Amino acid sequence: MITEYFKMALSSIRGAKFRSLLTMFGIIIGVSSVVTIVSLGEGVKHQVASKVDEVSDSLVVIRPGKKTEAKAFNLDSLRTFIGNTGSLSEKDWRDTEKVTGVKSVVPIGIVSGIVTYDSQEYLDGNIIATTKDLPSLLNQKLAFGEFFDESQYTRNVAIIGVDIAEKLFQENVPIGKSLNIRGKDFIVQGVFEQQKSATFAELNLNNSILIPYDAARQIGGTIQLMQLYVEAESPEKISDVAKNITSTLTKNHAGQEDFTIQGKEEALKTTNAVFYQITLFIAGVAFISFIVGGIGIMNIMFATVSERTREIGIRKAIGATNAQILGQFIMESAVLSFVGGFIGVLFALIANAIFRVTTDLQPVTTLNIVLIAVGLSSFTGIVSGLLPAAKAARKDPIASLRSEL
Amino acid sequence: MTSKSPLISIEEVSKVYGFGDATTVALEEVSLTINKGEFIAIMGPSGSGKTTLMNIIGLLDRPTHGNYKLNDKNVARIGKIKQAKLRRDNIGFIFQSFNLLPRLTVLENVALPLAYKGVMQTRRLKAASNALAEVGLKDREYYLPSQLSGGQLQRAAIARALVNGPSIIIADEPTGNLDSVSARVVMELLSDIHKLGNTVLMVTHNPSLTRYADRIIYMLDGSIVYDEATAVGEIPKRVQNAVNSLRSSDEEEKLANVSALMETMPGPDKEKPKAKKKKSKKRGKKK
Ligand SMILES: Nc1ncnc2c1ncn2[C@@H]1O[C@H](COP(=O)(O)OP(=O)(O)OP(=O)(O)O)[C@@H](O)[C@H]1O
Ligand SMILES: [Mg+2]
Repeated sequence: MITEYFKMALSSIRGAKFRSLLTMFGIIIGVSSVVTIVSLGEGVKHQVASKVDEVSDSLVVIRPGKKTEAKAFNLDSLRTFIGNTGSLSEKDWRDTEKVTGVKSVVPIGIVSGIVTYDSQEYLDGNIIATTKDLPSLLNQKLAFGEFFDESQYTRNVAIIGVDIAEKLFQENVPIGKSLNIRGKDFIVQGVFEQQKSATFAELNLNNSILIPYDAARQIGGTIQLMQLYVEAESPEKISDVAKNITSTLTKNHAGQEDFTIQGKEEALKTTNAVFYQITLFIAGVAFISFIVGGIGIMNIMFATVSERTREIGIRKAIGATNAQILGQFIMESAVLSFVGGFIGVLFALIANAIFRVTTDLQPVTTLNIVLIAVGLSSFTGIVSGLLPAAKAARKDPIASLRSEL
Repeated sequence: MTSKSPLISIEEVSKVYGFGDATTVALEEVSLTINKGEFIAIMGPSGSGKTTLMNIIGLLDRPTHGNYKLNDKNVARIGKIKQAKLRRDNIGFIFQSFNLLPRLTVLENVALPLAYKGVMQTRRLKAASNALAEVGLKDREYYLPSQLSGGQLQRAAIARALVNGPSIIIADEPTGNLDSVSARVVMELLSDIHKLGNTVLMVTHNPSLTRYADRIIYMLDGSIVYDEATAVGEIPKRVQNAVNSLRSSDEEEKLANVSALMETMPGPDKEKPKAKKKKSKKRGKKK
């Protein structure tokens, strides 16, 4: 009998296409927006997680300033430096290197100055003073050339990101060309591969010029230490190392803990916490949109039932039981909202494709969310079809037969 | 005839609508016995309770008082589910306004009673197709009701009423919306069905159609005032006289006036006209 109801539902939906579309409207909008938002969220989550995965498991990041939970994750920090107050000194760097369990420390220092090439200024990029272990620690590969090694620390060499190559040199492989920082020429000896998104290390390599720390000191100006990447001897030692660094640096900073130490796990934890909140929010939106959609369906189903009173009378006269009428209308409502949910998912997939093409976002639509969305909308349809269907089932056949067809 | 128990046995059935000052007595202690294979024409003026009686016999409605035995089973107070199933299995309805569902094809319409019975799709479409062939609509199976003439619609409705193999066909003014030619075709069909041994109950306002029946019941104010067997093909004298006594030259109008005229005609069993207090002659307004 279920398949009968299904066929009946299909035929009456086909018979009133516009009305059916109207009925599904709420569900379509609800499902498509929820699926789109969840897909975007999943996409960002994947990007963050995969980036965090790429960096060394033994990595710990020290940043100046006390970070609050809320600031731990925002979309801006994914792409640019956070201009946090507070400071790290070279002494902090050197002392950290001496902490037990620390294998190496890589400084990230912002060098003040303007970059020129061919008497053309480039103001958007960052000049970063660092040391040789940065690529291995961030798991960042070079597309061309090589990173500098210890023997080149005092030489004026530079490794650049893809955006710099494109915008400043306007070519893909400007190796051997030189750019000018504070009146000194630096020879480009390597170009990074495209960095897909900023790591939890919060460093946009695509738009950076990396030079040896010692060379940066030689050309004068200030170097502001934005971060220290610390590699522990092994991943298990991370928490001990973090504790030791904290006590060392607190001493250096006159007893104040005006810096933040974050391991990979913690970075994931904070992003997960934020995503949990986002998920709750989406669930709330979904809940409301399903209720609104459900009320819409109920409304129109009530109208449909009154309009089809005569039909109900005829069906009863030729032998339909109340239960069969009930089943027919519930099925109709369920099919309407199932189809609405399905169309909503299609819209969401289209929206995601548009996002993928027009923005950097990489929305991920999982089968789970699709099933949940379609399942929930069918459920909504069944629930909101109950009352109208009961009304239809209870109709008196004789009175119904007398009403207009 | 007396040895077998009757198909339908109604005892002192009353139907009262509304309550208080708005009470309408649609049927008043009607008793009626119908045997298998009868073709009964039911006549009477508008509001005399013909449809009400058909609805009760057809298990669409329930009597307020009295007993109704169908196939020796008491069905006057059965539950709604049982009522629907008995209706589905025993009754075939034919309405004045055809009542085919506009969105289904003729074939699907005819197959619908079998769907509610739980017959599989292929089998029920085949049965529906056969039923349509019997009423001469084989070539209209996939038409929509809106694409058929009134006569064709009523034939399709007859096929739908027959598809279940019901024991009783109830036709409430089946030719009321048809021209005389279509009406004839429909009546011949009903007559054929009757000849095959089916029981047919037909309400009509047209006295000339009583010639297809083998029994005529005349109703007045909720009671049966005339119940007489006739030979098929013959219009009883009483009805004939009523028609003849009309001087109107317009055939249509003549037929329409017959009922009004017959209202004054006394029944054979000379039932004293009961004093009925509250009764509206108008058809119940729906609300
Ligand atoms: N639902 C109802 N509520 C109140 N009164 C009703 C209802 N249905 C029928 N009646 C009344 O019952 C009486 C009999 O109605 P019924 O429809 O049986 O007449 P009928 O003989 O079929 O008339 P017609 O020839 O016009 O079809 C009428 O007086 C009518 O007004
Ligand atoms: Mg009637």
